[in-house]
Amino acid sequence: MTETYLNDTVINAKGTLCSRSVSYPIEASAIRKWAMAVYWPEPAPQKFMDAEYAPEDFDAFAWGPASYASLLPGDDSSVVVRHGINERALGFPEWKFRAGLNGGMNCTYGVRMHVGDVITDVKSVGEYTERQGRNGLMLITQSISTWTNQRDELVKRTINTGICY
Amino acid sequence: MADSNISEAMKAAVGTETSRSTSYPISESDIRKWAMAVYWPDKAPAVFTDPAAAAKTVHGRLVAPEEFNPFAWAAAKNELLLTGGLPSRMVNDPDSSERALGIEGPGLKFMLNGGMICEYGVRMGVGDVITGTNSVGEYSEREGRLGLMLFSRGVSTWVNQNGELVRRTTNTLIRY
Amino acid sequence: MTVKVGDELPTFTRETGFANWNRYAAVNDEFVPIHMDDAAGEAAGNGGAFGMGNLQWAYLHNMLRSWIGENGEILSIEVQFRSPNVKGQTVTAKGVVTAIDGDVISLDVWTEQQEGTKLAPGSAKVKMGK
Repeated sequence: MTETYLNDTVINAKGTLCSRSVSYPIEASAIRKWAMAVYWPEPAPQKFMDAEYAPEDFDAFAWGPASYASLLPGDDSSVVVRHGINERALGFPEWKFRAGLNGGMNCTYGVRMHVGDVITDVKSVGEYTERQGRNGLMLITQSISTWTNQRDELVKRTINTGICY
Repeated sequence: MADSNISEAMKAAVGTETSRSTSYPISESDIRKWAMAVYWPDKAPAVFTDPAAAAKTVHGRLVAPEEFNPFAWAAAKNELLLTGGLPSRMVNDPDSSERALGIEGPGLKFMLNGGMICEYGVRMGVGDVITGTNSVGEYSEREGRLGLMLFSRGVSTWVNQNGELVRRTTNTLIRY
Repeated sequence: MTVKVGDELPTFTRETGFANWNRYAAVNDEFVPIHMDDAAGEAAGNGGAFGMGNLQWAYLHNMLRSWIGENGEILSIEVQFRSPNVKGQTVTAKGVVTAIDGDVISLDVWTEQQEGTKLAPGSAKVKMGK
């Protein structure tokens, strides 16, 4: 039975910056279609049809970023690790899990996104913890995604939590 | 069996303009995502995703694939030129186009997409605003393996902000 | 490149199913029950959900565009939708040159499934890029 998932590498990785993605400039058309999809079948609010600003949940990276770079030494992957972080490149143990669950997300918002904004997303390692549950020892992972705009203003900071056992 | 499903009212309706739409300005991301979808899982050609690569072509700018739809999701303006309401593609009603014209349809039970013909003019590109006008095309019929088949056509004419023809599409609906 | 009657175009092939249909629905706002829901597709007489005719149309354009080059021109195209594109089919867009008149090249074009059954046959006129 697993006694612990955590080692010094995992514990000390907290705060490590993993990747940086830069979005294409946000366009009115993308805001409009996003709002139509999330309000469907009701009409989207006019302020979104006029693209005054984007809904908070708007994904500036949908359909892919304009550029992506891993920030981890020795990680030459050019493939976007979209929702997480590259644990292999961080040197984490190759855990074998029976199940992985989305444990939820927690988001803090800053300034709004507007047409023409270019968003930078930096993903970093959050806190990895563990606890005993019904299914044995569970690893609780956190990845942090920090979005800023071209003026370096914080747009949002999202903590994604995963549960594996 | 009916000799013909084409009524005088249907013949008289040919040429009627049914609706007109004006697009939002075409944006880079509209073109990029369209190209990503139709080339997926391969990478879309740079000419549709990279303005610098597009500038080197004969077009000198980012242009859309010929089959691109600038009216997808929403138009800046929709004008219904009919009294009977727009035919809905969500409802399986073979008479919906005549109903929209305010005339009686042939009452046939089945319908299928008979295909489309498209003539292209100038290319669509970033910033273009397209105006599309739909009108009633010709009706015809012939005896086929499904009995007397009715062919009805819808004509869609797209022009850009300079009044240049972008494309003219004729869609054929087969009813039997 | 010298083009002559009978020349076959390089093909454009896709495995088809919800992965490409849903992407196309997203860009074209084509969220129609017969393309999203097996029950709706079956009720329409197709044994399940089936792909958009518009996507077959796009694949034919992709094939033509690749052949004529970036500076080439698609003048006109027409197709008929003869058979539905059902899940799991491998769809290939094909073309063959039927006539050459000055710089206008006429072609037969079509999409077919893996057994060679034509789904959307038609014709097109193009000009090669200089």
